Amino acid sequence: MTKDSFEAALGRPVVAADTAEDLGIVKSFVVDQTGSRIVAIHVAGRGSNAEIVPWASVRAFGADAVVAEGADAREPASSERDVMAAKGQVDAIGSRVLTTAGFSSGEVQNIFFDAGTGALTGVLTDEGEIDIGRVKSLGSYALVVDA
Amino acid sequence: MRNVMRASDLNGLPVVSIASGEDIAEVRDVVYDAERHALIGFTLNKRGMLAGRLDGVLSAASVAAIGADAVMVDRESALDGLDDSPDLLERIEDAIPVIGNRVVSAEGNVLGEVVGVIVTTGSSAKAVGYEVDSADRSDSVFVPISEQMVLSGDNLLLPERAAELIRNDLTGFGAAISASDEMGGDQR
Repeated sequence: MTKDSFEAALGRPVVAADTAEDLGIVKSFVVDQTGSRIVAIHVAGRGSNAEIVPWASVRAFGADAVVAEGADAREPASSERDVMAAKGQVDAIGSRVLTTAGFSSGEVQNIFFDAGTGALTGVLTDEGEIDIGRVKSLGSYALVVDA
Repeated sequence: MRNVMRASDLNGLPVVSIASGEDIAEVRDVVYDAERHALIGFTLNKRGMLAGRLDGVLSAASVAAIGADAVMVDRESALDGLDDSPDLLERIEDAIPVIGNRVVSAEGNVLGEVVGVIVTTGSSAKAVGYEVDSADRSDSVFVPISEQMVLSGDNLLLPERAAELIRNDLTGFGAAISASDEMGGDQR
């Protein structure tokens, strides 16, 4: 497993495997609602004009660059989840952390993930590290974790 | 130790779905049955600017947890089951108000006037006490809710044992209630 983090990966170039052209840079990550994995990378544009590369089209998430399957891997953000992420409404970094008991528990500073699979492996908040097993969901309001 | 908070501090808190992390409503008001000294639930507002109220009551039983920062529900569909049955609305309508009642001890001392309800936080939220301001409003105490209390709408008469658990700070009250519970006390 190659451990990587959202913070470290931001700004990394995204390159097409077939044409070698730049598709954009890692602007943010689209994480699924259960807060368990990366579903897409937001690479260009903003809001409803955002463009993403689905995680399924990532050939390699390297330490210096992300290699996408092909130039056609870049597509307009279409799902509600993609658009919300591209608009910054669902952004793991900076998200409020709320326990299932209804208490605030800091703010997300960084997220760790397995670069091979896109699975999230840990969350760093200003109050310490949170085991990924405690994460219940990531929504526009909060990252909800087991109390 | 058990945590307690003022029911009035729940007003305005977001209602958040554990399954989605979305804030799906906010607490408009706490619905309380003073005759049974029981927390019924919450009326809600939609979230956001210019948002109106939602019809019906989110019952305390369908809440996953009450915390200082949010009221948690398991999933967004919790709002599908808001209770607006005539029975419930009637019960709320007919409820004897507890706020403003004069608090009288079993020994005949007037402690003051009820100004608020104290609830526990956590997964089985319930009302556990009343906040009582002294007649001259110079200080306040917290009295435990017990089945032996008698409420008329004018007066709240405390049972004899109540004095042992009266505290003048909320944290101390929470600790006292919690200790009493562990000893098999009758607080609800």
